[in-house]
Amino acid sequence: MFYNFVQALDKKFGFEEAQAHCDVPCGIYDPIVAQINALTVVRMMDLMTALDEGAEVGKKAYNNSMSRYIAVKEEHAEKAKHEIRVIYGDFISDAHIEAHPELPALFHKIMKLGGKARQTADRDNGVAFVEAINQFAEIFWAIKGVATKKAKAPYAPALEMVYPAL
Amino acid sequence: MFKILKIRGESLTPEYNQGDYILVITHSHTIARLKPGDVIVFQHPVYGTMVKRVEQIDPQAQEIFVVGTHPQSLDSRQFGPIPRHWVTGKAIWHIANRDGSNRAS
Repeated sequence: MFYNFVQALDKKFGFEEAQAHCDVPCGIYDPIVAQINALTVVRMMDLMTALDEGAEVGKKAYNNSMSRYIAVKEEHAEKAKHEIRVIYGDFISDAHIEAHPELPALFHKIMKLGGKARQTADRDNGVAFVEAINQFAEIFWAIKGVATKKAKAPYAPALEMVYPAL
Repeated sequence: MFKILKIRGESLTPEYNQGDYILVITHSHTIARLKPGDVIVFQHPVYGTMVKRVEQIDPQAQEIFVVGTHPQSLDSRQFGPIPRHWVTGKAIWHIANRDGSNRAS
C-alpha cells in the first residue's frame, strides 16, 4: 500500500507536520481533576463515618463538622461530574467512541454514580465512582497515546488511581 | 516545488485523519490561483504550520477564510481570515491511512 511506503519514508526522513488544530488553542484536558474530586468524595465519607463514631455526636462541633463534610462531598461529586462532562462533550469525538464503544455507557455510569454519591453516604458507591472515573482516565490516555500506570493515591483514602506514565 | 506533510490533529476529520499524509505543491503560481474547497498549508505565526480548507477568498484584501470540518476546529472562526502570503502550499494528493490503524483514536 502506498501509505505504508510514505510512512516508511517518514520514519526515515521525518516529514514536517501540518497542524489540523482543534480547540482554542489546542485544549488542555486531563481527567486527573475528576479523579481527585471523586477521591475527595470518598475521603469525606470516611470523615463522616469517623465523626459518627466519636463522642461528640449531636453536639455543636459535631454538627458543624458534619455539615462541612457533607457540603464538600456534594461540591466535589458535582465537580467530578462536570469535568467528565467537559472531556466527553468537548474532546471525545465520534471516532473515539467508534474505537472505544464502551465510552457512552461508562459516561452514563459516572453520571449516575456521581449523583448517588451526592444523595447518599454509601462508601461502596463512592469507591465505584472513583473506579469508573479511573477507567475513563485509562481510555482517555489511550486515545492520547499516553501509557498509564496504576498507583495508590499518596493521601487518604489511598485508593488505586490511574496516572499517565510520563 | 513539492513536499509531503503529515497531518497532526483532528480538525479536518473525518476526511483527513491524524497520521495521514498530503502531497503539497508549493509553486507560487498555484498558490495565486486558490479557490474555495482547496486544502491549503499555511504558516501561522502562533500555531505554526497548519492545514485547513479554504472557505472564502477576498481578492481585494488578499485574505483567505480557512475552516476545519471538526466542530472544535481552531480556524478563521477564531483567528480571523489569514493573509495570502502566509500560504505555503496546496494539497494535491491525500495519502490516507485506509485501515485507520494510525488514527488518533
